[in-house]
Amino acid sequence: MKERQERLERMRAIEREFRIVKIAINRLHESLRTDPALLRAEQLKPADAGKASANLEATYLIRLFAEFEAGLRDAWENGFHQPTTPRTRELLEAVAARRLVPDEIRDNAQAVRVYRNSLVHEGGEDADPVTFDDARKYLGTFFSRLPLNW
Amino acid sequence: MIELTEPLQEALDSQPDGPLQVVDPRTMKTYFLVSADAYKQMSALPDDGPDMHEVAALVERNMRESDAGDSSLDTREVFIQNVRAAGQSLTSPVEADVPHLNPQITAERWQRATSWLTPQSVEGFDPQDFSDLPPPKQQELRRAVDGFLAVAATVPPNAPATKQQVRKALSHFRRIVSIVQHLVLKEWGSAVGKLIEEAASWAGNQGWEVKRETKQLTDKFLGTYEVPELLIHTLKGRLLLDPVARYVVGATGLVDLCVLPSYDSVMIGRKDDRWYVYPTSANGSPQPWSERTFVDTVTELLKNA
Repeated sequence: MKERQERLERMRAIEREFRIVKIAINRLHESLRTDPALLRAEQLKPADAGKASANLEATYLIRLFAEFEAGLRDAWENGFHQPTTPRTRELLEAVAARRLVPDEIRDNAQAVRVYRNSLVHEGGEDADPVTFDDARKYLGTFFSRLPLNW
Repeated sequence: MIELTEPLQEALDSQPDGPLQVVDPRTMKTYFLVSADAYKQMSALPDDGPDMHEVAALVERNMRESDAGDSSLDTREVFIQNVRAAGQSLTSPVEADVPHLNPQITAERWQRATSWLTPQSVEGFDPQDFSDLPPPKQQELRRAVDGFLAVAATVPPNAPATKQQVRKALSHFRRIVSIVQHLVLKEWGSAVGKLIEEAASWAGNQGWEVKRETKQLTDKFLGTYEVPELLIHTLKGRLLLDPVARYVVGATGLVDLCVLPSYDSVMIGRKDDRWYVYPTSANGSPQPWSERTFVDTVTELLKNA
């Protein structure tokens, strides 16, 4: 399989996983409404399910971005044959410049990066929230501007 | 409650229109001093909308940094890029009743929201670069730039602009933006049109059928506008010459040549008003746009489709 396609497939796999877990959590909430003691055997409380639900998008967005960044770094090293390890912000800019990425696509990917940083580093940069769906769209669009093979 | 010191009282008196910026010498952290009324007004506002200031500041910083190291940009393009960057950071004039303000980040946003009111926003302006404009437009642009610079010169670098300064500068800046938008759209439309017509003519030389269509492009600075696109029918497959964007990183325009239906594509980038075909691989040099490169690229795309 072509490298770009393979990396995009991995990102799509994370998206599918996110959707499955989202469905599972929604089902769990429905079940908890009829049986609040459902989680007791696992020494868990309904509130734990609430937290899992609240953190779901952020958790998968972080995973999605990690896959995106790993793909970019793979292309940087093996496609563009660059021996350096730039910070993610600079990596995005450098790849964008090499692949004539439209400004808006670059900006959207940077916005996901900033939001991801705010999730990972407490007290990090101020960031506008990005939904998982938008992040998938933005990162996928950026990645589609990479060469097919490297 | 801590009382204001005399130097702070004097500083406040000397700056009645904007918040006072103070620095903690131990940490070098900056604070803004605002009146209780302004603070209450801002605290009451929701902060649930998208923070365009944040995005705009990031865009502006990225564009300025990337342009600074790009020697391929001529002065006219540098000026246009600066106006565009500032234009994107410009939302509404900053006053105490601007929506999205939140007490935690008010000071930062206040500062950012007038980040366009600086001589940098029109840096690179040389009237001679605009000699292709009709003389009245040239004069209008020059007057607007001079007017804007005159106001920007009165804004201290370490404090936000006053309402009056914002109002004056805004009127000049809107005129600059309007002239530049019109100019860029005309120039970009003409460049794309020429590329499409050349491709159509060269396709005809190969016996390939073509169909001209239009598509809409949307850009934060240029708005929504129409450009031509070209469908190319060969015996081995169909291709689309597809304009993507005027503003791309490292070039002054991008058109994709895609093979259908996979949309595997080759980039055709514009630099210094010339088009180049970029290699499909990560490495290799761009080739100047010509009949030969066009035919070779179409052939290669169809072979790998």
